Amino acid sequence: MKKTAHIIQNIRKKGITGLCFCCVVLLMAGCDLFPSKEKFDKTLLSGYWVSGTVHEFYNANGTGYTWDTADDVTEEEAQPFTWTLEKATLTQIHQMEMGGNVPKTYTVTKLNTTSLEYHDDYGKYYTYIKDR
Amino acid sequence: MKKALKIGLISIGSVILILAIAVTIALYSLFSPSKLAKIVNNQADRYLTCDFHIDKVGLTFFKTFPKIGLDLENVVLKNPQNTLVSDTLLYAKNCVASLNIRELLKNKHAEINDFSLDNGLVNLYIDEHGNGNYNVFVTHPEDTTSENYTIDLQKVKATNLDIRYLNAQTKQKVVAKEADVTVKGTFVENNLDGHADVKAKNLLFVMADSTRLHFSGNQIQAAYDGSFTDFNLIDGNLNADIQDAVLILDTTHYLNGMDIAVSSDLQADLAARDFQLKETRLSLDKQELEVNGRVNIDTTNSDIHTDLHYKTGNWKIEEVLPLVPRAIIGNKLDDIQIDGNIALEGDVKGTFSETQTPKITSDIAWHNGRFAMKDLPLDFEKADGLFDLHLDLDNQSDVTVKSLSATTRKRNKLTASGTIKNLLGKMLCDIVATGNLHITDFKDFLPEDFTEYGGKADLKVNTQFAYDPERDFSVDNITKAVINGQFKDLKMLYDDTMSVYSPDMQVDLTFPLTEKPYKINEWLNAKVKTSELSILNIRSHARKEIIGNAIQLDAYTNNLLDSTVELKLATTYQLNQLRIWADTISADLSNPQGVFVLKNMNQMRFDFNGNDVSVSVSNSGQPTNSSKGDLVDFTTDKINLQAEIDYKENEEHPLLQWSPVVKLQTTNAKADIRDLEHAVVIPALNLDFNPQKCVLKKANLKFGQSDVNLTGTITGIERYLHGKGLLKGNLELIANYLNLNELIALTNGFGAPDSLVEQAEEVAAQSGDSPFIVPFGVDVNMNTTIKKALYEEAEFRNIAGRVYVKDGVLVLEEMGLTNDAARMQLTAMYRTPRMNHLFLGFDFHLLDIKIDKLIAMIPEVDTILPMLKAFSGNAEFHFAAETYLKSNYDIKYSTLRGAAAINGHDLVVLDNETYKTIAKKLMFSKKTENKIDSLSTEITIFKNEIDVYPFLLSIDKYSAIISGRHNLDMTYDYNISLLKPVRIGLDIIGLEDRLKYKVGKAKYATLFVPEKRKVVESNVMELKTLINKTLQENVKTENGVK
Repeated sequence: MKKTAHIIQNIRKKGITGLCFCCVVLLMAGCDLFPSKEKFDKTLLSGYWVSGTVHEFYNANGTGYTWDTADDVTEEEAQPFTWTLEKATLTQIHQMEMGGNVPKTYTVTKLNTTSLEYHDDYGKYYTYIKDR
Repeated sequence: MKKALKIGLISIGSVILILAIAVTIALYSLFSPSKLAKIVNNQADRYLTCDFHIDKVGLTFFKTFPKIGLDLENVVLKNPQNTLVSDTLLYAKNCVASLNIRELLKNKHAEINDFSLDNGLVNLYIDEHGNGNYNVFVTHPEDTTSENYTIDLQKVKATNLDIRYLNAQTKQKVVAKEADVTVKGTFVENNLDGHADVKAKNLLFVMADSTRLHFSGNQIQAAYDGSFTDFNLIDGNLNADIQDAVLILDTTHYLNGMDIAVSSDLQADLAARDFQLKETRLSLDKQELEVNGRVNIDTTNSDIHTDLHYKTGNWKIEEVLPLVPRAIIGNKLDDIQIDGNIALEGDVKGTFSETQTPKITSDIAWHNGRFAMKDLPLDFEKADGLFDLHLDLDNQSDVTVKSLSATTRKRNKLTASGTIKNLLGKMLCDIVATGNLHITDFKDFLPEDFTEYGGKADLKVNTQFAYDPERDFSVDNITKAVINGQFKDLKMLYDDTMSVYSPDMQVDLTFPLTEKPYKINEWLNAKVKTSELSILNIRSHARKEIIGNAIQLDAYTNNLLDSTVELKLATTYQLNQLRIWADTISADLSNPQGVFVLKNMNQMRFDFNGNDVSVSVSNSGQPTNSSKGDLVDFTTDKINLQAEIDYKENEEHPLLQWSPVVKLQTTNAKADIRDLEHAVVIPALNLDFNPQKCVLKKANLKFGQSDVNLTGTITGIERYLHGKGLLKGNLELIANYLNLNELIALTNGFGAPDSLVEQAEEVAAQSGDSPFIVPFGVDVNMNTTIKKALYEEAEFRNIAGRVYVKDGVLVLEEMGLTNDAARMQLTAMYRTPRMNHLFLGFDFHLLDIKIDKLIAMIPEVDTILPMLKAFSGNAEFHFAAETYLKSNYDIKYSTLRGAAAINGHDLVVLDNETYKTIAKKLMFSKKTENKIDSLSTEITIFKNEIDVYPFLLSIDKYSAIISGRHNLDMTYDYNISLLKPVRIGLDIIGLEDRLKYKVGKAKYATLFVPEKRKVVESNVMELKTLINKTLQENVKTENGVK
């Protein structure tokens, strides 16, 4: 009997706790603490970004190119892509020279005049700083 | 008895002596000197018109013994005619005459038995009007009896007589001093017959008219024995000797203190001026000349007609030449030394007049002579020659060299014969000469660039040429020359560097030529034949040598000796073998033959025909005694090469400088190049090449396993070499079999820029990497039809498509090919912008391929889509990717981009451990049939990330959507969203061999339900469409429509 009461008490505690948690969640949602995807100013994306040896350059017209000096590649040898930034979704479509596209989609988490951070759906994070 | 005879003779003698003394005393008392002087002066007055005086006249017995004669002293005849000359006509200190008075008076016969004149003077003078001072005799025109006088000159003698003769009319002067004259003979009716001796200490003869002749001599001795008929006809023997003779004509000395001797049987008709010489011998300083014949001086015009034969003694040239007046030879012999014995014999026939000269022939023999000339480096010795000279000053003078031989530098023998026509004008020479020569002795005549010579030469020269002494000799004067030369052990050293040697060489030269087979203004033909000729650079450390065997040349050139024209040469050539070593390269050519034409120094034509020709190139610098070179061996059963070269000095590129126009045909050729794995076999090759275009009419090439036929045209060669354009080619390649691995190795790096070549060398040196470098500067389009091809280890069939190389880019465009696994279409690009940055891109579309074969053929597929190996069956695989590579072909992952699409039908899931694990996690029934109706997925590759876009998979009653990522390090992050029979998700993460499975929520529940598709799912589907669409754009359907 004690055991049953103990179980019931546990359930109550957990139920109260869960209820409280739900209330907190609802309150946070009401206060926009879980905002829907953030909207970034894509004009801030234009320019050179560098992350270690990886370089990316974004043109305002939606084109760009990337190169990695670690692989002995120069800017002149950089490979092109087109890009779009819708809210926080950054889509790069890398164009192959012989035809064919390789799309890559990222979620931007930070974009300002000096920093760019995004990640993909597989938990890979990228952090760039503005180069010039 | 003797004593009685002696006494008797003495007694008789005493009586005669007493008788003679008695007669003398009687005569002296009868004819005393005073009485006789008176008688002679009285009688002389009757005969002489001039003043005369005789100091003393006496009878003499002893002086004229046994006749009695008159002895006159101081006889003087004076006939003053001109105050400028002496008035003494005759003076004799002593004169003795023995005259038969009775004969004179009774028979009018003057018998002068003895007449002598001592210590006298004769002074003859003819004035300007022809009057002589010797006309002192009284003439009686009515008296005709005097014609009957005869004179018997038994002994007429004049001693120590000075004779002077001066003719003012003819301006002639003769002076003889201390002359002794002896005359014996008879003088009957103007006929003189007898003997005369004349001696004089000095003789002077001067003609001061326009002739201006001076002759003088000493110790003159002359003797004449013969007749002088009617004071006109001379017939007798004349001998004369004159010492120290001097003959000056005008100002020219013809004799200069020489001794002259004359001996002649002379017949002369003075009136007719006709002289005939017999046994006439002249001696000039002991040089003898025999002259016979006739000389006639025309009385009407003074023309001299000659018909003489002459013969000299054996003259020594060194003694004769000084006798020849310098006026005749001038300074022609100043630079010449000539000696030996010379003998002449010939005729002088013809008329000497103002318009004619006699013809002179002469057989000339020259023996044991020597000849040297100042500018001639050689002296000639032991010269023997026979010459025929025909001298005709009015027409043509010729000389025939019957034979001439000489030696030079003791061991070289020369001979010559022939004719020289028109000797005194423009000579026409026809000479045959031979020489047995040691070449080193003639070094001075050979080009200075050759510093050493050796060997022997047997030469025969047959030449005809014209020579005009008034003009410089030109080769144009040569009308014919044939020179045959046989050389033994010929050695020459050029510029102290190049040694030339031939053990034997036959050289036949002919010039000038009339035939013009090559139209290069042929002048000289040279036929050369030698068993061996070697040219060796003796200064080079590395071997530089050319050796030819059994060489035959038939060469033509233009006029080599005309410095105003440039060399033109045309020759056929034939050799058994030609070996060449040049630095590190050696070549060996068997049986080369053909034609070489050098039109000028800029234009040449080269025809080369050969059977069984082989060329070996070695980098060892050592002779290739075997037929194998260690670099290249080239052989061909037959070769026909025609090349024309037009050298353009202003061109910078070596090939364009020569501007070759080539036609080449070979049959069964083989090029074994050591750097190549396989020899290139060329069963047939036919091409035309010029700087603008190369036409491959036929090229059947076998390289390793490859067997190709290549035809087509390559253009833009000149612009390509100028760096102004690409080398353009449009070729057709038909191959039974093509090993691409070998072809890639063969064409690696052709035409690459210097910077890239340097990089390649640097990379190769540092890392040993040697990636394939695509040819640069070319734009070659090749339509291929290949039955079989091998790339890496995969074999393809029925390949057709276009391959082009354009300036460092290699493109395989829409190549259709088939192999055991699938039908395929491949478009690929390979660029080599720099050694450590090589671009590789391809678009590979495989139809109906068995998955296991696909993985076997392209192992990388297992990396891209590892789950594929879980399936069995046929699929359509479309894979496009590109990346940059390092020099060792390692992928630069930062540049890796790719997209793939796989569509499979009726597949079977292989029952492996992974499948079993997944089936267990998703609670598949054990009775699940592992067949899949269809599979369609899109995959992207970016750097080291391989993203598999969600695709729907139906197995038996189960439907699932699979998606995820794996990295090239083989870490996985996949999700399987099971849609049927329940919605459940399974995450598969971790390393390939340590995968973790986690059951969870289905990730893509509504992806393939469009009306329920979420935004993210819509984006995913758009990207799948984009990937598929762009992949399909590169696919050509089998009928050519995409």
